[in-house]
Parts: sequence; C-alpha cells; structure tokens
Amino acid sequence: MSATERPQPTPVYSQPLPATWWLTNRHYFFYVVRELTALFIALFLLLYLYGILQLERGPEAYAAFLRLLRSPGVVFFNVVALLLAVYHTVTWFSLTPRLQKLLGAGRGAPDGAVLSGSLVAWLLLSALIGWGLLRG
Amino acid sequence: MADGTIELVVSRYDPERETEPRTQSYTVPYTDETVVLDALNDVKENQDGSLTYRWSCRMGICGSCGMTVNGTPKLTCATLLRDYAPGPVRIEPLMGFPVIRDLVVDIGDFMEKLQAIKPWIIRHEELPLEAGEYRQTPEERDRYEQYSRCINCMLCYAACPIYPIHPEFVGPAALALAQRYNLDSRDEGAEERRDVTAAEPGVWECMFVGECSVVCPKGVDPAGAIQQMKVASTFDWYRSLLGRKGRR
Repeated sequence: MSATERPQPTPVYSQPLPATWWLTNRHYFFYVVRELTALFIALFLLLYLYGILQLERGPEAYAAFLRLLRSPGVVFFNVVALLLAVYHTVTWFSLTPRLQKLLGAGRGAPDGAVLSGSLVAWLLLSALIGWGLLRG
Repeated sequence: MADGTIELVVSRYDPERETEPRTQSYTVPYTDETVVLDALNDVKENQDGSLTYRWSCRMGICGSCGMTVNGTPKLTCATLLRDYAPGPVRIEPLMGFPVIRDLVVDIGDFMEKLQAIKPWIIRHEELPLEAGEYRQTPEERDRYEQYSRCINCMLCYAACPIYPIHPEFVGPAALALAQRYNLDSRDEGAEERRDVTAAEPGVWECMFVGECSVVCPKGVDPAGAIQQMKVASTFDWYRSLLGRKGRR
C-alpha cells in the first residue's frame, strides 16, 4: 500500500430499528396510538358516506343501512372510533399550550387555563351541535 | 444509602472479529454518587482494558458520553447508578448511528448535517470592526437562549424513531440550532438555511413524536423549534405564491 492510499475503512455495524420500537417507551406508544386514530376516523367517515349514498338510493336502501348501524359489530366499531376520536382530540388540545408558547402569543395565560379552556369550549360546542341535531 | 455492587450488561462489538454486537457482563462497586461513566471507567481500569467508549469532561457539557442506558439515551456522566439498583443495567451505543466499536458510534452524518445548516451568524454585509459590536437587548436574546444550550450530544437523534427510518432527515439538534440562529436578531441567514431546513428531509420529515425534547439533558426543545419552523415555512410558501401572482 502506498503512503497516499487510504486504509480500508473498518466495517461498521448498522443498528436495525426493531419492529417493536414503539412498545419500548410510553411516549412512543401513545404517539403511535394517536397516529392510528386517523385510521378509525377515516373508516367512520366512509361508513357515513355510504349512509348518504344509501339515502339517495331510496327509503328501502336507507332502512337497510339503519339496520346495519344497529348490528352489534357496527355499534362496537362506533364506540371504539368515538373513544379514539376523543383520545385524539384531548391529546391535540394538550399540545395547544405548547404551540401557543411557540408562536409567541399569550405569554400570560397559564398552561392549565389554556388546556381546560379549550376542552370546555370543545365540550360546549359538541353539546350545542348534539342538541341542535337531536332537537331537529 | 446505596453501597454495594451492581451488574452492567455492556454491548461489545469488535469489527475485526465479529459481524454483530454481543453483550458482556461486569460487576462493579458503586455508591450513591457513582454515575454510569464512573462504572465504565472502573471496568476499563480494573477488569477489561479493551472496553471502548467516548468521554471527556465528566460534567455534562462536552456531549461525548451519550449512550443508551436501559433503553433510554442518556449522558452517562449525569446518570446515577443508584437509580437503576439493584440492576442489571444495560449499556448500549446510541441508537440510530452505525457502531464503530463497542459503545462508540460514527457521528460523521450528524457533523455533516450540523454544518449544512450553517450554525453561525450570517450577515448580508459585515460591518467594519470600528462600527463596534452588534447590539442585542435581553428580550432579543431570550428568543433563542434555550436553543443555544445544545451541546451536540446527539441524544435527540438516538431518541428519534424517524431518523433510523429516514437517515436523510436533518434531525432535531441541527434543526434546533438552525432555529437558534434564525431567531437571533443579529443574524440574516434564515433564507440561506431554508434550502436545508424547509426541504423534504428538513422540518417536514418530523412527525412530532416529541421524544427528542424529553431526552435532551440541557432542556432544549428541538421538537418545538421544528414546529415553529414548519409554521414559518408554510407562511413563506404562501408568500412566494402571492409574490409570483403579483408579478404576473
């Protein structure tokens, strides 16, 4: 080997990311759950779109759709989707105080007040929409 | 009062003899004040001189002694063994980086990324020395102060699950340092850095897992810096869209 020639590089070991990486730490786990909620919300919306399609096809098709909604499997799916949507919303709101600080706004408002304020506003709006829908 | 011995299960890798790492156990004495790095030094001095790892200052400022302790990226000079009693304690190299030997990882990729974001004050035109220093108010300094505490220890890269999947991702520390200079009132280089920070492997590769900010030993919030830059990058995009339309 001449003096100018570089020595062979020593082999390095590339550490693989284990498939179970998201189970190794609480934060990773809750992050992956938060991402997965999107899947259930998308499925719920597809079901909802299917309902609108059946409504357009006529009263019989719509009645069949309503029967489908009452089946235990679909009820179970809706409960799971609702819980995941609530989880997503709550974790999203708990990021609000942090993002507020990042954007340099509302320096005076304490984190707890921002979080509880957002949650109360969300519950009130949900209740108002729910009341409007059920009344009609 | 903890006084006794504890077992360390250390990851070993010799590139000349092995194709993948193995583990080796050592039993070391420890007291209330013993940190993981002290225990490794104890092994190297008294049991096995071949054990290889990086360290320098022993006081949490050089950023050399980052390793994975029981699955979490830690500065080993600031990690007390008593918190892991009765053991055993698993000590592995920083995740996400190629291993050169035992607990030493190749940091070349991070160094390149760090340089790419130009972590220094950029001026369109340098003032002559006679003009004096660039002045800054305490409020202006506060805007970037926390990001300037970064010691380049790379624990945030080890904590990031995106980095091993997309190795081209510029990553938490480099992006936080880019934001440190972007937020500095004396700096005019945000536009120059944008090619790196606003590109696909820049801020948009981040999924906001947030673990980088959790493991940072200096209280820096890289995840926050990246979200700030996403907002800035979005505004830039809209501005460029409007600018182009206006010229037509």
